[in-house]
Amino acid sequence: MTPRNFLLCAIAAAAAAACASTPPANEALDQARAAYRGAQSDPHVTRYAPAELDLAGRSLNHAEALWRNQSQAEQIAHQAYLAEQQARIARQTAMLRAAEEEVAQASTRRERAVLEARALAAEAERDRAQAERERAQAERERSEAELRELQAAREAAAGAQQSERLAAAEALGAELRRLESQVAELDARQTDRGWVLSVGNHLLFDVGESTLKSGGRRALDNVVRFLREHPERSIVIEGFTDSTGSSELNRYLSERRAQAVRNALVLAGIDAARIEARGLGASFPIASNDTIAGRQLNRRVEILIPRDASAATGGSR
Amino acid sequence: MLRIAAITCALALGACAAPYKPVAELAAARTTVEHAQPAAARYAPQELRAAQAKLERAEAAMAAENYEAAHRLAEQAEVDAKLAWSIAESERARRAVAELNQSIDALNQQLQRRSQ
Repeated sequence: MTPRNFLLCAIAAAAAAACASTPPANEALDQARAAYRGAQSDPHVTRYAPAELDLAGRSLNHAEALWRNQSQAEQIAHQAYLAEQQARIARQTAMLRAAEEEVAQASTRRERAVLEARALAAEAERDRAQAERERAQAERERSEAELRELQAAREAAAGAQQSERLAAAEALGAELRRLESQVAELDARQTDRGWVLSVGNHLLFDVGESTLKSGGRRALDNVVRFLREHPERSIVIEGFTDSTGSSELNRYLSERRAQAVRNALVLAGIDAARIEARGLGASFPIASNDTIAGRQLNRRVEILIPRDASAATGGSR
Repeated sequence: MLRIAAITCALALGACAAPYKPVAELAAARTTVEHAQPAAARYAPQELRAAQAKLERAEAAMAAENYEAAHRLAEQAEVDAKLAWSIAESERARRAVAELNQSIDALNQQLQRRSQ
């Protein structure tokens, strides 16, 4: 063996020895190692996907073993590929679980927000309902007060009406009593037609005259006063004569005299519409025409106050 | 653990004895890809396609009686499908979080407005 040959031999041996101690680099294995280291250093992965990381680690160990034993490069690459993919799966799984956890937390947050919103809505509703109740209460109180006022007013009105009616009745009673006393003063006699006041002609007229004599007015004072105090009453004035003379003249004369009395009353301020006047001549004598005294009684003016105020006029004989 | 043992066993046996037929691994890969499909089609289409391609290749290798390749491809298809699924699921969860937070914000704004 030449020294040159020996040298070549030594180099070959050294190369063989080097081969034995460190296997040739494998690209797929390098990638798998990097992927595993990346996954391992991610705190998310150690927290959320420890099992997946463990699986990737074991696959990598297997690939390393194959590599150390100088297995087929293809076999090493395959195992390394599995390890690398498992490391990536571990990272994705970690992200998935982190996201799932976040979903759970967000759901809780959302639920809380929903509850809060509901509570707020309920509070608003409560406030609204309270305001509504208060408004309704105020309304009720107001309407009750109104009702009370109304009732009080109605009672007061009823009371007033009652007392008014009472007063009216009392007034009517008093009026009636006064009327009666005054009619008595007039010296009227009661008939079925009403009160009749008979005034002898000699008190009112001179003989043969149909104008009231000066003292005649005084004889009518009571009548005027009565008519002033009872403006609702009307009267009928009837003139009569005795049976001497023609009946036509008697009727004319008696009519003139009734009219004269009427005129006197109108002059005294009594509404003409309240007074009817007519002449009845010698009819309806109240005494015998055969004696002087009887004839004097028959020459008269009668003032009729109908008993019923409404049926004042239009009575006939 | 069991699977690793099985793989080692299979590899050890495969070297000398009769070839191992990875029927269970292929079935597992198919199930996992199908399971990942709905979510992954939307949120991790690239990873899903990789898993599907590997599953197809595994089935082709199985048909060609290349069991070693079929075994590896099936294992890779399964792990790819799992990754696709986990990417899709975590994306879905992230979106759910965002949506929820948005609704909470809206709710809080409403609350603030109402309480003012």
